[in-house]
Amino acid sequence: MERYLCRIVHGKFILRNHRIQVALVIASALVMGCGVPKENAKSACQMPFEYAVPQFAEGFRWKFLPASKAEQTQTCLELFDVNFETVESTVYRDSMALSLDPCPKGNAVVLRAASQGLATLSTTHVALLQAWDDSLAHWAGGAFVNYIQSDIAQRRLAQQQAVNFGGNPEWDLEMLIAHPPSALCIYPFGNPIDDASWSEDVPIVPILEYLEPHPLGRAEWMRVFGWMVNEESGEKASKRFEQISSRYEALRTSPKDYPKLRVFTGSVEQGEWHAPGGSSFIARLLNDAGVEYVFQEYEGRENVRIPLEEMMKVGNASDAWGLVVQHTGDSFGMQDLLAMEDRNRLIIPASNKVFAANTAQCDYFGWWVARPDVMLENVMCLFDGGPCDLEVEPCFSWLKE
Amino acid sequence: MKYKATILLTLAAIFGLALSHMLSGSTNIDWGELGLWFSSEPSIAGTVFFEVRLPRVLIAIAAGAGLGVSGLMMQTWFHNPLAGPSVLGVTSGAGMAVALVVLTGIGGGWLANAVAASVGSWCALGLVLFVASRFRGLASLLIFGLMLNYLLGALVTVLQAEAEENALQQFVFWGMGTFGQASLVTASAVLVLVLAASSIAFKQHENLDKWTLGAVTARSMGVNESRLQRLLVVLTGLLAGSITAVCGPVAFLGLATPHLVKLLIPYRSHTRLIPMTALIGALLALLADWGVKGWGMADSGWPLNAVLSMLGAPLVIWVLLQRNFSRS
Repeated sequence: MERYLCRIVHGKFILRNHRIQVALVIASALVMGCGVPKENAKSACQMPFEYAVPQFAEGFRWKFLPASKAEQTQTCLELFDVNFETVESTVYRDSMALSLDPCPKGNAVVLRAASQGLATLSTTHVALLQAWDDSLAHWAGGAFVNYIQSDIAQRRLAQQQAVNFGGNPEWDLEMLIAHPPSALCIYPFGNPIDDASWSEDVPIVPILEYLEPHPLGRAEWMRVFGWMVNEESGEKASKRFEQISSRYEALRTSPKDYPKLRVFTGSVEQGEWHAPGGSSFIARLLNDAGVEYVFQEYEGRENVRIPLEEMMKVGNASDAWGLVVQHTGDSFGMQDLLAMEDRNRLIIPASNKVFAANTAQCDYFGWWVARPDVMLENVMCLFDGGPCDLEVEPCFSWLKE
Repeated sequence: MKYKATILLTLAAIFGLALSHMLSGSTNIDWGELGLWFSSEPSIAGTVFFEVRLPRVLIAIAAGAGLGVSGLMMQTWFHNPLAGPSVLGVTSGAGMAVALVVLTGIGGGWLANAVAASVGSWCALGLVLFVASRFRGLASLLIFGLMLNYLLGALVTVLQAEAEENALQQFVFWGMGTFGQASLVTASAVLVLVLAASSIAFKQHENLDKWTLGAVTARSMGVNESRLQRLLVVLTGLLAGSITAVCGPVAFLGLATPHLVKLLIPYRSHTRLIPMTALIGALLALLADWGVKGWGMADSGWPLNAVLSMLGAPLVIWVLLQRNFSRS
């Protein structure tokens, strides 16, 4: 029936004596569409696909594509929406892989061949590339490069081995056209080229690592970056992630010699306390470090709001307060905490124990995201009270008077 | 300086600035490849020139001219030097719609923002047109516009308070305004719209001149008040709405350009004010866009609205002081 309708729409049928019927048929054809017959499309999508699901991350998975016997099995990457429920985009390494997929879900993104590498929006993306390739050879460049703390990335930019794509205040669209990356990795918002006529030349890949509730889930996105480069890099990134996750798990399950402290996080924003929920990244990290996260009962990864009066009670009943700050200049201390917000003195636990990660002094949103094992080790050594012997300078430290 | 000379000088400055924008950028263009853009062969030079530089210049000219002319119309109509294209709530309507789309997570990206801004500005314009016929006196309409601005602003604040950090960031970026997101088709369309709207406004120059003498005098001279009001509201809404949809809420130009023009030239007839305002608006917009590009230095640009205000406000104050000193 649909073929019949479509033939009419394309003008191959002329029913001169049945104008009303023709009009009705044309209208139904326009409504129903003239694409692939729905039965075929539906049956193709009902084929059982095999998936490779990540260990900790929730925002992506690989789908194995059906291939002929002579061909090597190919995969594509399915990226979920911000709720981790439906597939928003499917990424293919080449158009051949796309042709093998009988049922692409969401936006089909085909990576650009023969490009200088991946372009990034965030400093975290750079760290997820650098985690398995110290030379950052597959990094085409990035936006908001002033925020990138990686020395190698800055060196590559200075030596013009990587491109500064702008971002602050505006993206440098000319650079994107002149140096098109194999993909532009962005957040699911802030696409600088969504309505440009040349946007097809720059594949856009939304990266959701920042929404992952598990510290290892965020780091596992390094496998996505590796896979996007090529098969070999994908394996390299997977191996690196295995090392990191094994170390994290070993630390998590190791016996803790310190008491199970009650720890809260957050800060005062517009007269209310804002803290990550019980399913957030930081909640998981603290639980894995063997302490009790005070806001565990608040489900979800989103921030919770708590009235300040209540927070004073929470502060008094807790053992420690942890926070992430950006403080330039000397190291961040108790006086700086009070200078930030005078009412902080009412929240500080009776034990006077406050620890902080100063993003101006450590690459908290970059290197540390890719190394949750070191982050866990840092937090555990804080609670243990001993000197932290980490492979880098600690990011979290107790505030001094 | 004579009017014609001023016009020619401004046109030359616009041409020079536009040319400087088109000739320079972060990439070096192989000018020999430019013609390939018209063929099916892909060319970086053609894409950079025709898809980035040219639309940017066209939309800057359109936005500057359009907002300047709509500001002039509003100041003339309300007999109020503080009136501008945003006074009717059209810009706030656009802002509210974009806030709804971005901050609630319904959509995102510049295309979605542009569609939302268009819908929002048209809704606000429809509301203004609906109430305009029911109000007696200009002050009521002016107050209505201000109240609409406050109301929509309050709703945006509520949405902002509830929004996620990332969505909030996206909305803040939209609020900074830019000439860098227009495509060649969009920029050309807005430019045509601005030319058409400015021509219609120009045809009303006699009525506008009479209106400056006061409502009673204008009526006695045969000005059809309600017809003129409808026309000006529609033109302003069209201009402010379409420009906001493409560039985001562009500040300052609508309010300040007419003042700058009145300080620069002694004429008060709209036959001269309208063309001059359009040209000075375009010139200011092109000049400000150099600030957005960091005056040619990498990584040193500022957001459009910041540049416009920082460039324009001292300029108006300087011209104002010059005039006052020369008078005294």
